Amino acid sequence: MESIKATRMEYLHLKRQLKTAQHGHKLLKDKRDGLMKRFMELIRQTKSQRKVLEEKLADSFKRFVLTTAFLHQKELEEIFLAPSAKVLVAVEQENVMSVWIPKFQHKIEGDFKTYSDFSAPLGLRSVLLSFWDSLELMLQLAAQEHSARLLSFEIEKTRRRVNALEYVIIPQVKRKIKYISSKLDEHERSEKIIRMKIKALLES
Amino acid sequence: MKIGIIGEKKSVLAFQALGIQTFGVSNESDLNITLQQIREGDFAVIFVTEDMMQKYGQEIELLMRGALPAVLVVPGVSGVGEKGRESLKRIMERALGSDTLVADP
Repeated sequence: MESIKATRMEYLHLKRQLKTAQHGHKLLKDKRDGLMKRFMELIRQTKSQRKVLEEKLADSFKRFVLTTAFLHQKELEEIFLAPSAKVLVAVEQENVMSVWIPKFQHKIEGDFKTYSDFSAPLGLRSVLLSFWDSLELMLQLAAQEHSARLLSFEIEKTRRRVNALEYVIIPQVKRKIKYISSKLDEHERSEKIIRMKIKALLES
Repeated sequence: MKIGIIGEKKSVLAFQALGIQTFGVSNESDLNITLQQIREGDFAVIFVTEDMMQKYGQEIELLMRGALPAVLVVPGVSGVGEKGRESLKRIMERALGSDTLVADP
C-alpha cells in the first residue's frame, strides 16, 4: 500500500482502470456463458451418439477379428492391398466466440470390395459393410467431440480470466482507490486546520 | 484431406478397405514414426482405438491439443472400455470445473 503515490493523478488513473476492469469482466462473463451454452449442446449430442457408436463398432471389430482369425497377417494385408474406396474430407471452420471449430464435409467414393470372393473369408463382406455404415457416424462424432474439446480449452481460459478479474484485480484497484481518496481527504482536512490556525494567529 | 486410424496392426486393417490410412502400432518406435507421419501429413481426422489410448495415452494426448487433426477415441477389439468415455469426461471436467454437475444430462 505504501508504494502508491497518493496523488490526484494516480487517483484518476485508477478510477479509469477500475471502469475498464469492470467492463472487461462483464464482457468475459458473457463470453463464458455463450461458450458454455454451445458446449452443453454439443456435449449432449456427443454423449448419446457416442453410446450408439461404441456398441456398433465394438461389435464390428469383434466380428472382424473372428472372421479373419485364421488368416496370417501377410494374407490379411494382401486382401486389403489395393483399396478402391476413398474418403475425401474438406474442412470448414466456424467461429464460435473466437474459437475456430472445424466442420467436416466428407465424400465417400468407390467401393470397399478389394478382394476376390475365393481367397477371402465369406463373412468379410458383412463385417466390412457394418464398418462402412458406422464410418459416417464416426466422422460426425469426431468433429463434435473435437469441437467440444476446443471449446473446453477456451472455457477454461475464459473462466480463469473472469475469476482473476473478479477476485484479484477489481478488489485490488478498489482498495487502492479507497486508500488514495482517504489520504487526499486527510490531507485536505489538515490543510484546512492549518489555514484556520494561521487566520487565528493573524487576528489575535 | 485424409483420415487415419491408429490401432493394433491386424484389427485396423479393415479400415484400409474403406480408404482410410491405417497405422498399425505394436511398439513405441512404431508410435513415434506414426505420430511423425501424422504431423507431417495432411490429416483431418484421426481415430485411435482404446487399447492404444491405454498404452500410449500421454503421447497421443499431445496430438489432441491442436485445431487439427480431430482425434476420436473409438472402441477396439477388446470391446468398449473406459478410455473413450474418459476422454469425454476430461473435456467436461475442464469446461465445468467439476464433473458432478453433469452426471447424466
